[in-house]
Amino acid sequence: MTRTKCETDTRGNFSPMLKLVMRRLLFSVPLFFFVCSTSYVLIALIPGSIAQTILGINATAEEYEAVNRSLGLDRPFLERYLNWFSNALQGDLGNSLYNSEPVSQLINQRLEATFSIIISCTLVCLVFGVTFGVISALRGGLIDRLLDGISALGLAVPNFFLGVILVQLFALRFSVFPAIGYVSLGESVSGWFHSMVLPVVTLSVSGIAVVTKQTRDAMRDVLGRPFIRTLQSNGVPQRSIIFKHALRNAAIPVVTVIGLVFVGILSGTVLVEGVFAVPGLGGLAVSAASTSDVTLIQGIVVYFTLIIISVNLVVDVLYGFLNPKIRNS
Amino acid sequence: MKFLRSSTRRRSSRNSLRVVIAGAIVAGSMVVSASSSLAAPKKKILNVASLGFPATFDPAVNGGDYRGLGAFTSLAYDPLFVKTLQGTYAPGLATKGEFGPQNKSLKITLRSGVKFSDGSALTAAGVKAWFLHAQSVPGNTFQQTLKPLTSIKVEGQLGLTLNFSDPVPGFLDDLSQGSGLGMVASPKAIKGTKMATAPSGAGQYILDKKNTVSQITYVYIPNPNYWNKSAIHWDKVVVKVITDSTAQFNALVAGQVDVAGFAGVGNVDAAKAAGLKVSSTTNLLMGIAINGRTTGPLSNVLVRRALAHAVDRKAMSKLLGGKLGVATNQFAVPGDDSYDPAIKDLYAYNPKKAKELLVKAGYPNGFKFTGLSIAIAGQDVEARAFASYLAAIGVTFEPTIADIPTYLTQRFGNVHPTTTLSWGRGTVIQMYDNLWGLPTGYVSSDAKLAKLFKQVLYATPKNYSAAAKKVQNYIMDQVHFIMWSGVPQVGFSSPKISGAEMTKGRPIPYIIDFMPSK
Repeated sequence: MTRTKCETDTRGNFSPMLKLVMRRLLFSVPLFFFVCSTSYVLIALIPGSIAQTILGINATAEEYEAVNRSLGLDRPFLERYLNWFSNALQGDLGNSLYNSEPVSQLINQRLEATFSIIISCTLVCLVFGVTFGVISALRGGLIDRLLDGISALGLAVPNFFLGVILVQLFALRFSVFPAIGYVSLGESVSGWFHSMVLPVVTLSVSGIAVVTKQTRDAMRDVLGRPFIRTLQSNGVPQRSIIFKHALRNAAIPVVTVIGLVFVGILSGTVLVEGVFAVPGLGGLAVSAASTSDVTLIQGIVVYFTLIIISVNLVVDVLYGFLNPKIRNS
Repeated sequence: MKFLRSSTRRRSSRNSLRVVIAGAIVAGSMVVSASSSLAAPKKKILNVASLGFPATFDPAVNGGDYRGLGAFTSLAYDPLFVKTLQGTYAPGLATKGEFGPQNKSLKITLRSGVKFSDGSALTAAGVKAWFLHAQSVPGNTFQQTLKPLTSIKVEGQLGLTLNFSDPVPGFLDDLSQGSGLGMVASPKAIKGTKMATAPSGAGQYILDKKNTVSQITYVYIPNPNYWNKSAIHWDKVVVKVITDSTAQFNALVAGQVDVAGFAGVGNVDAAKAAGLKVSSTTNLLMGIAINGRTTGPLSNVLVRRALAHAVDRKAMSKLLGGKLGVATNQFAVPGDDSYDPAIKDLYAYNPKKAKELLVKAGYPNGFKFTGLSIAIAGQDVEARAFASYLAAIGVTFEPTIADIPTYLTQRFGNVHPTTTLSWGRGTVIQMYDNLWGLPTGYVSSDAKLAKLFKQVLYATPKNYSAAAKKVQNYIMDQVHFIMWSGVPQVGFSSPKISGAEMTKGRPIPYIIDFMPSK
């Protein structure tokens, strides 16, 4: 019976894969606290006053002070930070300074929409980018140049512009997809799919272009190596050479790019959520920043940091899976 | 042959089975749909787009909230008086409003049998508590309006008299849906702590908290305690927060929302082509407020006059209002009580004169200043056009195009010395209370303006017009504002609804009047 990757051996040693995951997790903890602390300091330096946002400019100095006092903003910075930090450790990110609603609730209401977009986009980029990249590397010639041209176009067209064009065509002219909004997956699967198509296409185009180029270059590099010729001369079938050997070897830089594409999509949601009026985290971040709602901004930073750390962890685990040297290092 | 025949028979029987199953499904679905349509008639739902969301539901703080056509407040709060399409005032929660001598008191008679959404009754004592709340709650928007209010006398269960130190001839407007002051909240809510997070009025609808997702979708359902249930037209009103104006327009064209207010003039042709109803009235006065009149180059009246002479108002009006744009250099257009034909050419387009005035003021090489603007109702367009006119006389104007909350909080502050405006037309009294007489981050008050305004308040019908014009003359002579155009306010709505008309008397539609088209 073979030992699975997550098991310990008879001497109680962890498998290399589990060690890799634990190492990365351990590294993520101080990183998470560092990012959260730094952002707390930076957010505190943002100009603007929540008291003025709430009361307008016609209030008296006493009224502003009263609001600041009621929100705890009159206390020393370090005290506020430690208070926020100890509450955050217990899962309490505080209340929005703007309308007093719990920050976690405001963010959780928007998580599904944002995750739907970024996960769908990443999958679309992965599937189409890798497929186009492999085809481009194997065929060369006209198809290669055509895909290259499309990739360049995908990178050149700004997301929001593409979004506006897609809405005009597919929502307003042909009425195939809705122009705005998000339908929850729990509410209707087909409705969810319909509401996702245009935002996902808008955000995926540049990601597909990046993944296509990276896959093509990596595949070409691997296909030119001596072990591929050895496999060919040994009569190993072409399909097996491409998908089992070449693609696996070419996958490491592609995985890196996918991780970066994911992060790019996450930041791209800010614009695309505006164009399609999708109620996600990006729009919430914009509105929190414009109202100087520092507690909400800090909560969003915590969530964004957690998402990015998780993605990096997944990428690292995939490295280890694809390359034994990494998991044993 | 035998095999073939049996195969054909099998295929044919399989096809028959398919037809039967398909038929059964179709019939079944027809029965289900018929029975469901019999059991539950289609709900009447109104979808409203809003560019923003209020920080609080308290009308004393959000001022009735103009966003989403005032939906957030108007749906849940009935006003004391209802402003009609003609601009007159009809009974609302109050059945009668009578002014006393010199307009220094207002006797209000309340409607009997009215209950708030929390079940408490509408009483004179409760309305008094509301006015006191509106006067004292931090961040209230009625400081200026309620300044002359000296006392409130409760007379029985349904009568009360408001006494003022100065005449308040326009006070009924403050108690109508255009303002939050007349949107009385329940006395229970005033005493409690939830005014900001839950509406508590005596309006047609209540907020359905279960289906509301804060800052995204606000769902309103009929108020079971409403005093006039037959006036409720919708089973549900959904206010969707769509912060991007292009996305809002797209949603209208795609039929995902039924109505959106404050659309741009530039979209009129596209809206008509898409089959939307377009409503408009010349209502917005476009220009720039010079708040920074106490510091820097703008503190010199010659400089302000120079800037006023630098603008080609005809071209600006065409840019902002198309064929319907009206050029004006006053904070009024012909037909308004303070419009004075005698000064219609006070600041005629004259870049040469503008440069001469700058030299005279000691700025021969120009200067630089900033301004606050917003990409709503063409304000960003006017800001950029103004900058190009000033560049021609050697002055650099740098506008900041802000988001809605920033604009609202900073427009009268001291972050920028100027602020672009697209301000609704009104009487001198409304203008003074809501804008001209407001303190800013630079100017706390203007004694001469206050004195002239007082003359308007005490004016007899015979000398009212002259007094109103004097106020206009003063603010234009001192260039508190540089105005250039009166432009139409445009609203789009689905052909499936009616009641979203804009008129000169009531430029902002009242969401309660919206109903399904017949």
